[in-house]
This record gives sequence, structure tokens and C-alpha cells, in this order.
Amino acid sequence: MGGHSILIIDDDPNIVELLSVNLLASGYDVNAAVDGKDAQAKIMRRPPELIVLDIMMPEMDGWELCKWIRDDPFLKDVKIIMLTAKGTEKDKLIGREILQADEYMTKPFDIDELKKNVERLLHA
Amino acid sequence: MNTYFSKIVHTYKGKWLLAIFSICFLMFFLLIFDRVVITRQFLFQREIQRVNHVGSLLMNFIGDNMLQRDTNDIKMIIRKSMEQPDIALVSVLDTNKIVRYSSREEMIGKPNPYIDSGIDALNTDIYYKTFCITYENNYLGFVQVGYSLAKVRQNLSAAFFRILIIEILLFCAILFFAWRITESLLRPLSEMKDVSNKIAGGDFSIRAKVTSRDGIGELALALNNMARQLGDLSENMNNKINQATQDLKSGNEQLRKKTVELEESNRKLLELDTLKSDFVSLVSHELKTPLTLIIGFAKTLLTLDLTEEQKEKYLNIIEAEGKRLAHLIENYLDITAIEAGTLSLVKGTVAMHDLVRDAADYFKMGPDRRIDNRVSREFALVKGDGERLKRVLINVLENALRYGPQRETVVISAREDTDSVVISVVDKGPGIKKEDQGKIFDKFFRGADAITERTKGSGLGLAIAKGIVKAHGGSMWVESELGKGSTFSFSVPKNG
Repeated sequence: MGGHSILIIDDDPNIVELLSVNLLASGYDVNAAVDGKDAQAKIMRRPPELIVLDIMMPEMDGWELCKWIRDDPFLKDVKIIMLTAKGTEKDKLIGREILQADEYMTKPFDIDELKKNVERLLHA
Repeated sequence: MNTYFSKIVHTYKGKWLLAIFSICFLMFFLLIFDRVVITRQFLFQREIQRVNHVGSLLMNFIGDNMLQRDTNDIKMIIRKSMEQPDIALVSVLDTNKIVRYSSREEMIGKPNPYIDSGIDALNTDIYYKTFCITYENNYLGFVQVGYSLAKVRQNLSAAFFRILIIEILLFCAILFFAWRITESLLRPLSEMKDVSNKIAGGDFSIRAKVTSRDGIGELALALNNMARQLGDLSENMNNKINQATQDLKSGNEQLRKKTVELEESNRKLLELDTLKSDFVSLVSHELKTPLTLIIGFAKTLLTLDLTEEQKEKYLNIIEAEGKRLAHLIENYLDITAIEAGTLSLVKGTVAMHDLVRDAADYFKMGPDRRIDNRVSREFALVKGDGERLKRVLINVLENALRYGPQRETVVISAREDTDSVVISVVDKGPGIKKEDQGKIFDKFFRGADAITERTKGSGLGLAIAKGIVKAHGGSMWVESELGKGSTFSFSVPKNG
């Protein structure tokens, strides 16, 4: 079923599986990328409406990717949910421009909460 | 002029010269006075003698002629007498002191106006002396001679001036010598003054010349002695100062070393602190992913309609993540025990092949199939804590897999030594820098490059591994070259 397209970017395939299965069940069109480069390629090919992005990834930092997306005028409408861990990440978060992403979720996150955020961002 | 004079008088030289001047002056004055007086007397006596001589001659001549009333002869005698040098007057007087005959015609017939000169005759121009003319005890008259003192006085003056000039010259000469003498007297003093100044300036080695055995020489000796003492004192002080400086320096050096040590300690503490807080965030991060997955999939299984295949898959994930959590928690507990030294091993018989296989299994859940177990089945049995040794392998493998490139295989091999078994894990990852190779087994150490910054890891794995191996009595090490991969090896004694 066609619907809003979501791109999940996380290097842990289990997380990807978890998010995919749940979001698909909610009726979204789900794609996944395992690292920054892969993500960029997929975004260029078909810009998604929402991106779930993990901060800690090899080779390209989540922040960098976020900035890359935000810098692109064609992608300005893409919603971004960032997955972070608690602690210093949150501090970094406050230090950076908070407008980068649309939502932040710390691990471990409640899958239902994630679904609610997705819902909210895509139907706002 | 007065101040100039008083200035001179107040100097040593001035006083000295003034004293000599005064003494000389007095002396010369006295001498001159003496000389003059003596000369005067001498001359005077001489003239008186002459007068007496002339007087007595006249006395005799006139006495004879008065008897014979030979007037012409008397006049002739008077004339003749007047021809004598210095005779100014000859008068013949009768018993009433009336002038009968005289070299001065106008006096004849009148009373004699001239009285005899007294003691102070030298001040008069003419010296008058009267002689009695007697004949056979008959008192006939007098003859008065006037003697001109002009020449005498002239002689006296000339003599006086002569003396004066000589004395003045002598005076000057003496003053000159006095001046030279004071110079030479004062020279040693002046030298000593220079020496004193030099001593005051810090030169304690200088010495004054001792040129005499008098008070000045003694002064010079005293000065030299003082200089010597000052020199000794100064050297003493210098030595003491040098010593103190040395002590200070070495004290400082020690302080500096201590400070450096302290700074090093501080740095390490700070490092450790940073690592600890990083650790805390990493630990929480490491634990969170398995938790997320466990909770997430559990919820998924409960709420979604899933295929049997999916169900099985997800349940397996839950199990594996649970195990991973267990492993992580065991790691954290172990590191605490290792640090506290309270690690207790549960010893049993361990088959190395099985150990390696089980460790490799831990990772089979992942997408990588990159572990090559080359430990043969028949490999030696080892006495040790199986669970913990497995964890050692898992930690090492975790590293190799985490930091190694995706497509390369990690090879595990073993070899048997006399007393121990050595397991080696070879990866073709990025390798480890020489300076990090020593630190890699340190708690929290994670390297400091781009790769480690992005990957997840607490930096404990190798520290725990090494701790466990050490607890067994073995050792652990790494061989690595940047760009060519690493080989982690550990040895376990066969008989625990």
C-alpha cells in the first residue's frame, strides 16, 4: 500500500528490523540504509518524507548526515527523527542547532511513542 | 679669598704647610733679627774703636800742641783728621766747653752744642765722643770727634738686604722641600686612599705598599689586614651564598620534578575522569540497544500480526540480545572485580576448540560470517575458568569484528607450548599505532582516531580480557602494524 515514505538509517540491522516491521504494520512505506553513504544514495534516488536517523554510525556521523540533508534545498520538507542515547549526547544536542531535526528520541525508546511521533510529523 | 684660605687650612697638607710656614717664618725672623742685631753690634763696636783710636791720637797731638800754644799745628791736625774717612767734626774745647778750634769755623768761640752720643747712637747721623786732653794730670781741655755713621748705616742696610734675600731664598727652598716632603708623606696616604676606594668597590685582593716602619706603614699594614679579612669574609659569604643557591636550586629541581610528577598525575586523573564519564555514557549506550531490541520486539510480538518466520526470528533476536546483555553485565562486573583484585575463577577443564567455537557462536547471530576457527578438536585441555576464558575470546573477537573491515575474515589459531597454550586472533583491520600498543589493554582506552569515535564500545573489553588471563597466570599481548592488521594473543598455563 502506498503511503508516506520513511527511510530508516541505522547500522544495527536488528533496530532496522524492529522499526521496519512496526512502521510497515502502520501502513508506511519503509526503506532502510545501513550507513551514511548508503543513506545519501537512497535519499538522492527517492527523497523520503520522514527519516529515522541513528546518531552513532560508522563512517558518517548522524549529525553530519542531518546537516547534509538540511543544507539541501530540495530536502527541506523532509522530517527527521533522531535516535540518541542519553548522557553527553543530550548535552551535545543542546549545544548544536536544535532546528536540525524535528524530533529526538533517546534509547531505549518506546516503539509506540515512535509511532506516535511519526504519525504526528507526517500528518501535521 | 677667606673661604679659599680656610679651605686650604683645613686640609692636612694645608695645615702641614701652614705649620712649616709659620715655623720657618718665626725662625727666619729670629735669625734675621739675630743677625742684624749682631752685625749692628759688631759694626758699631768697630766704629767706636775707630773713634777711640782717632780720639786718642788727637788727644796726644793736641795735648802736645796746646802746651806749646802752637795754633797752626792744632789747625793742621784738625785738617788732617778731617781728611780721615767718616770724620765729620773735630772740635777742641777748653775746660769751659767753649770751642777753641773746630773743623767748623762758625762754632769757634761758642759753647759746644753737641753732646756725646749715647747707646742709641746708631740711630743718629753723627756719633760724638769727647776725649779729655790731660798733661801730667793737668786737665787742659777736650777734643770732640764727630764720627759720621752714614757709611756704617749703609753697610748695615746692605748687609740686611743681603741677609734678607738669602733668607727669602732659603725660605722658598725650604717651603719647596716642605711641600715635596708633604707630597711624599701624603703619597702613601693617597695611595692608601685609592686602595681603600678599590676595596670599597669590592676588590679585596688589592694591597697597599708598606714603605716604612712608622705609623703610616702600620696604617698600610692595618689596611692590608682589613682587606684580607674582608676578602676572607667575602669569600666565606660567597661560598655560603653559593651553597645556599645550590641547595635552593636542587630544592627547586626537586620541587620542579615533584610538580611535573603531580602534573602528570593530574593529567592522568583528568584523563581517567574524562574516560570515566565517557564510559558512563558508553555503558548506558551499550546496554540500551539490547534493551531497546528486547522490549521493542517483545512489544512487536504482542501487538502485531506476524508470520511464523518473523516470530521465530524475533524471538531469536530477543534471546541473543538477552545473552548480549548478560555478557555486557558480566564484563562490567568482572572489571570491577579485577580492579578490586577480588576476581575469583571457577576452575574446570576447558577444551580449547569448544571454547573457541562457543565464543564464535556468540557472534553468529550477526550478519558476519567471518570467524575462522582453526583450533583443532584434538587440541589440549586447559585448567581454567571456562566462562571467563570464553569472555576473553569474545572480547578480543568483538574488537576484531568491530574495528575490522566488513569483508575480511578473523582467524583464530592456537599453539601448544611446554607449559601453556597460546591462542591468537588475527584480523586484517586497520592495525594499531605503535604508541597505542602499550595502552590498548588499559581500562577505557579506545584509541583516539576517527574509527573509534564512531563505533560503540566502552574500552573495557581488552582490559577485562587481560585481567582474566592474568588471573589465570598467563599473559596477553598484541602484535600490530598500521594498515596491516593486528594479532592478539594470550597464553594460559595448561595446569592452572
